[in-house]
Amino acid sequence: MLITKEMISINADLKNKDEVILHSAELMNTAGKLHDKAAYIQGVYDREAEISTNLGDGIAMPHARCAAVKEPGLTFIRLKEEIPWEGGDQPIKLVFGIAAPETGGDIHLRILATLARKLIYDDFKQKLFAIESEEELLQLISEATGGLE
Amino acid sequence: MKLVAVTACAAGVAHTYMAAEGIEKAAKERGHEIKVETQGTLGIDNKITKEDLVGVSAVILTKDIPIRERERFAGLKIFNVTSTACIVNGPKVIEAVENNCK
Repeated sequence: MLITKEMISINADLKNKDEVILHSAELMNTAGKLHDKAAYIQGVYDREAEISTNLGDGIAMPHARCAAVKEPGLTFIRLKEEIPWEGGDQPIKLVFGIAAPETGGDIHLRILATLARKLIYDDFKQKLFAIESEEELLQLISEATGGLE
Repeated sequence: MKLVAVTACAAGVAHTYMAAEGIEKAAKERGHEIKVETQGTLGIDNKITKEDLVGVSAVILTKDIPIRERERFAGLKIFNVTSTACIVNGPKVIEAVENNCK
């Protein structure tokens, strides 16, 4: 699965971007999505340096496509308190972490692309802010992308 | 107006597709016709053909990384924008295109 309950962290008590990126990488790693956690984290920072993933409206999407990734993964973190995130005026409350392998995983990459497109729409974003459980989030993402598997 | 756009980004995972949706939504909201091609990890999707370019007023290209087969658009009015602008400020990008195509 691209995302499971174990890859979701609602009301996470994290203080800054570094803690969020580390936490997301740990969720990915525990779920068996990575070959090399440290290299994946480096990939995420490299990507952030190229282009901020602060997407505005309180949402960030740190991601990396690199050899350290075994198979595509998606994490979701909703922070207890907003944190600053370079590259945008607004603080961040929701974080989608993405891990993509250098090759393969097309079905899951297609789901990620569909999800990314949904993030343009205010009604979808409002639903993300409002979910109350892991199950609700999985349901919402599944509906938005036409099914998770 | 009739518009076309191509989006691409370095990782090709998220920005490419968000930018495509952002620019398409903004253009349609302003009553324009638009076709958006994506060049991402999934390859080229919704490819813009010669026929699509007939009667096009402007071409919007993201400038994060080089756009493949850019020569298709030779002679057309091209707007180079960041993928982030398409995502966060789609309406502003379309507004700038409108102002420059009057």
